Amino acid sequence: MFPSRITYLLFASLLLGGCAPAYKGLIQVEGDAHCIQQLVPDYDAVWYRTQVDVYGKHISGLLLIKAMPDSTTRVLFTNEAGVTFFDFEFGPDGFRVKRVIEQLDKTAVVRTLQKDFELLLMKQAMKGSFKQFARDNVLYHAFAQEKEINYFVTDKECRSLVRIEQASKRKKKVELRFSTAASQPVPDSVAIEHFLFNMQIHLKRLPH
Amino acid sequence: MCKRLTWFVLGMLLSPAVLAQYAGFKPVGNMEAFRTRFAAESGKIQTIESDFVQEKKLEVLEEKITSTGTFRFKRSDRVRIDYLEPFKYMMVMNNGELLVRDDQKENKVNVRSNKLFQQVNEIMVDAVQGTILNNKNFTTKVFESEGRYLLEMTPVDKALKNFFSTVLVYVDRHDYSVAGIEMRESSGDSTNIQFTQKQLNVPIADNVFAIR
Repeated sequence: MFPSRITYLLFASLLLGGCAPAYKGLIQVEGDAHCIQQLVPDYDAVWYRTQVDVYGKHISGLLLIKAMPDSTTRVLFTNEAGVTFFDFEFGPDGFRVKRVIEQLDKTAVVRTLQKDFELLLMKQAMKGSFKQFARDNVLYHAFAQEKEINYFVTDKECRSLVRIEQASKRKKKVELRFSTAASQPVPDSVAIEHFLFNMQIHLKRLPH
Repeated sequence: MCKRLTWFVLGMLLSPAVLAQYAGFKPVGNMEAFRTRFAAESGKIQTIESDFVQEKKLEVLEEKITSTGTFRFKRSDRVRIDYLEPFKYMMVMNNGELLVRDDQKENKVNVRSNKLFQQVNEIMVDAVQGTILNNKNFTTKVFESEGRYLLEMTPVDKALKNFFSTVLVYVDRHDYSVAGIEMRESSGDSTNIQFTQKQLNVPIADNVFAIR
């Protein structure tokens, strides 16, 4: 696929070191997207204990990630007492809000959550032109989208996912850090941290 | 012949067996008698200490999540719910204030400043205190079976309707205490709480409900 001018510029500025220090010193290496595609977690039907901290507000509850028979994935958040706050659908045809409570029904909020979950689910975030970089004993599998680059960082052998980063031309915007036990199809815990504004999401898998 | 058939069909449609929306229940025979007895008997309940099992059912997603914990009530208007498995979470309602605590943080919410929280708070408190029939935020219908009464509560307020289309309160006939609460959403999802190992009027210290 012929990269668009914007993605070319993003990658070019990365290589020329004209970008954020976080991505200085990345050395492009040969590779294709095949190995990172093998590391997409299989969220069959998984519940996570969830805490969200945003602008001093703290919300807790349970997050369900479920693969549906129609190839979509649903991400649903309910509080401990059973009140559903939102129900989102991610699929080949795009993102859809199935349900959201009035207090969260704001474009900026929904869009932030959409992008965070797209990174977590990986598939939708692995779109755009692909390049692979190496630094500090890890591999950066980079997908350049229109305004940002999604980096899926693995060990040197591309056997396990270490973290996911989303960055604009200038700086890192979001980082997802994982803790996954050996031979588990999904992470035990995930920390999502935003850098442009004050927001963190913590997920801890419920006993299963 | 046609007329007879019509009457037969109408008769079938209107028969109590078909009208029973809640299996095993029929509309309460004497509403006033129930109202009086309910107020009197639940007025005798000073404290409740019980376990609970809560099941949240997601219909379309065909998933459910079950949690267990303890429930404590002390007259008046004090409720404490401790979720124990599969996660730890605590809610204390006391004098219009709500304190919640999860693994990470404690959060005090002034219920009176948030109408929705206030109404949800009132359901729980009114249900166990026996004042639920007076709750102006709901229209209530009462049904009865051999062992239980069922209060079908429909929210009046639009904001609450967004959360719950119906709240069902199951009351034990023998002591008029609340056996369970089911909250139904318009999506078809529901949350069902069953109280077990109920102990009425055992001493519970005030500081159990302290909101620091």
